[in-house]
Amino acid sequence: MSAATARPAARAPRRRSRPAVDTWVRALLASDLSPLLALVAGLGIVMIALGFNAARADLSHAQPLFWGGLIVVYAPIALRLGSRSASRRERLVLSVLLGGALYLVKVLYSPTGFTLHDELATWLQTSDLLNSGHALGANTIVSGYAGFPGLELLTSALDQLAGSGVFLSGLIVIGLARLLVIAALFLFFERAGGSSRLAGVAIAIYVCNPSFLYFDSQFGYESLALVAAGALLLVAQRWAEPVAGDREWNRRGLLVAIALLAATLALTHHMSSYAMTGFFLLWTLTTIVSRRRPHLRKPSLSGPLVPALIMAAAAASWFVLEASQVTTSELGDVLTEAVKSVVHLISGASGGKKLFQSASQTNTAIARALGVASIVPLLAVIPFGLWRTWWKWEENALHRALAVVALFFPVTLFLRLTEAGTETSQRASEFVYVGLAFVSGLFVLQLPPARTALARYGRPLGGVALATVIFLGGFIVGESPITRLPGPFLVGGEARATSPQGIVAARFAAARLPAGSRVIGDRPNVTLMGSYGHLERVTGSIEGIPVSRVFYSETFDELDQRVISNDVIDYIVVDRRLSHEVPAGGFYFESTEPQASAWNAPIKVSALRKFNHVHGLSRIFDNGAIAIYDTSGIRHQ
Amino acid sequence: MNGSRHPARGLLLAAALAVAAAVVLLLPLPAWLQFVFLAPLALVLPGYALSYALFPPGTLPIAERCVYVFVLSLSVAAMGGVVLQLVFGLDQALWALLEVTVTLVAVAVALRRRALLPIQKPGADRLSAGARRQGARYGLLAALGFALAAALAVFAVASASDGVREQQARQVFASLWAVPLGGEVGEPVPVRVGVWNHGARSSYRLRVTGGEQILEQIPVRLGARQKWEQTLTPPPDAATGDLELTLFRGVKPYRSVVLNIGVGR
Repeated sequence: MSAATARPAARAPRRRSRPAVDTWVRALLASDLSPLLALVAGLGIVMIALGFNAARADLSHAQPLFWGGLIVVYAPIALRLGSRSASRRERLVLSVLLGGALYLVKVLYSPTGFTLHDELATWLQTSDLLNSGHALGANTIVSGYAGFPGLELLTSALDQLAGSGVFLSGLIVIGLARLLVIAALFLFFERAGGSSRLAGVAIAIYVCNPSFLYFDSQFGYESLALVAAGALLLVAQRWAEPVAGDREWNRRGLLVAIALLAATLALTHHMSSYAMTGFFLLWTLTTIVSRRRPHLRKPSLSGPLVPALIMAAAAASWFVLEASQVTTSELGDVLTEAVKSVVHLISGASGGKKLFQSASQTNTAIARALGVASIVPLLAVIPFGLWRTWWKWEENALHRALAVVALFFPVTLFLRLTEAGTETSQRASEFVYVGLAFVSGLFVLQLPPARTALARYGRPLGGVALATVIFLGGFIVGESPITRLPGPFLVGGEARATSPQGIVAARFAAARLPAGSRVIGDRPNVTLMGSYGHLERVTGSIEGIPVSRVFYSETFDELDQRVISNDVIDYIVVDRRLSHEVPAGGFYFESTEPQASAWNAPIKVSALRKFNHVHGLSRIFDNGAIAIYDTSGIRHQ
Repeated sequence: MNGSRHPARGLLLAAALAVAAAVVLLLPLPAWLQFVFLAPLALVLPGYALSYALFPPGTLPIAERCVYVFVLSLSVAAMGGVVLQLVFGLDQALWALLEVTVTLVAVAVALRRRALLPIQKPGADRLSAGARRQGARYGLLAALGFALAAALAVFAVASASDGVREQQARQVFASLWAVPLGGEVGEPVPVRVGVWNHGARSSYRLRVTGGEQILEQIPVRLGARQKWEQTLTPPPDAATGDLELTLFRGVKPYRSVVLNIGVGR
């Protein structure tokens, strides 16, 4: 102090202002910023809504508004979640706010009705349940929905009791699930790591998983199953690592809760129930293996073994009793193709797919750079997590299990090198990111306090810039360029191929054609026919002939006739716009069609017009873009 | 056990709301009021009661209990629904019966378990009067902030919905259809014909031809999003062969459908 007083008076004001600014900043940071950040997130959501509107009108400012909006929603909240000054309550509120705001992005994508493929499958299942009063009916759009009716049952209960309609009921159910899965994960991370800051950072990283923004927000069984899985994690954690001795005095309550939640999960979603079984078994394994002792410990019933056994029993029972066929047909194909493609890739029998490219659509250089840059920090944090949990400090079985889960991340990246493995990789991300998020939280928590002003302000800003890159890159990795934003009609463009003409044709089918009639057509339109139209969508092949052949053969020949007659096709839906361009998603009809991902010219106009000249075929509907043909005059030939 | 506070208040309220919801079902109330009473019966009340039956008051943080409330409500709908639909068709009455019964039984179990457990910590989280006043002031500001954020979210959804409608409105088209309504082979088949206009108000002319003959011409005037339907019965000599319906806008053919009636029917 004496040295300071000896300095010239001119320097005194500067010295006084520094602590004043610092005090002001500290006071600001010490207060609860969640209402302010909610407002900022609201502005980000408005930007995204305007960006989507611009995209629908094919305007150039759509992209900056959308990406800018995402950053405005994510970055400030992530910054605050990682700060040292936020309170526990604020972190929890901000985590839930982040999850909710990102759910709204999906709502803004299709705010007036369901348009995504899986959403239409769920709509069909729910609609059938409402009409018949019975769950577990077959689903011709996604076979798996037939065996896992949790979402449809809750949605129909809400719809029938409150009269809210399937669309609004679905939005409410999935919206609540989204808010609460984030709350559940926050509590899980917080209890596991003993720090709300760790939990906040972990949530900021978890929402970067490639499925989070759209896939896990859609009206689909997995979106709901995640909250059941989150609740089960919390109860299992209470069982294995008791809070205030609750396993002693509330043993029965905990066991019943585990059983109820495991059963709920088992009949809500296959992958989630198997993933939870796997995780509990892994957690059990990490309680057995000890670094310090050369021998294995005996598994204890007071550990995660009990939740593992209950979850396994629930999943196996539901599989045997009800869901074996649909699970095998849905997951079996996906996994088999993934394994095959990886084996072919390793053996050199086939090449890898081009990364960041889907069919005719390619990512920009910036998008590719963001995608790659998002992966690097996550890969880097995995060795730290393993070192920190397996070789250093305490022996915490849950920490170790989560670090091993993070280790699956490179495996899922490897799967992305093949076309068939991409779906498996995508589906695994919401589980793998639980481990990645936890080790990321551990990493941030063990960083030493900043000693200089530059480090104090620079490090959080650098950290949030990195987190934003991970967030944007994760979205880029998981979502095709054609479906990130809505837009004008695009042939084979998933939700963007769902047009008003297609919806009107499906409404006509529902009103005027016999329910359950068998129909073929391109994927978006036949999905609409299978859902809103109440017809039965037919895909695959008959007697070795792909049914899609009917559409691209030059003339209506004997093989086409065999498809119509032997597969008992009642109606053919023809979208004339298919002849305008190659399918953006790589296929017109189904991913297994002979020229999938290899179309270099659109379907010929003559191939689609041939139906007008087939004697006995009636064109019963026409709205310019879409025509429906009744085959009853030729089916028995 | 718990001083002047009545820890069972929430449970009793849940039971009362469940019963009230069942009564509301029978009353001809406005849709929004039905929604306010009955949505919690599906999403909250059974889970709330079950969460207290499994985890007595004072044993869970509020955020964790919220998670269980929703997921246990899902459990009731999913497991109860799966079992009931094996025997009955699920409808509004059955859902109400299931949800109310589970809520009341779980409330009873929760009340019983609450009485058996020795742990209640009244007042552990009580704040001083000053802190409460400060909290209330902050709470008002926070509520204002969150309310504004919610208003922005509502504006965003409304704006996006308008965007979708505008995009759909840019698609101007009309649909024409004709569906045979059954009939015997060799007999005239009645045909249900319809036009659905998805553009601005328009005038059309529908021409029906069988073979080379014009059988009928019908003027059709439709406003935006209006639909026109009529059942036509072709003459007996059109019992076999093609029946062509052409929709004209002005003098130009706009849409056409062709029915092969009589063949294979």
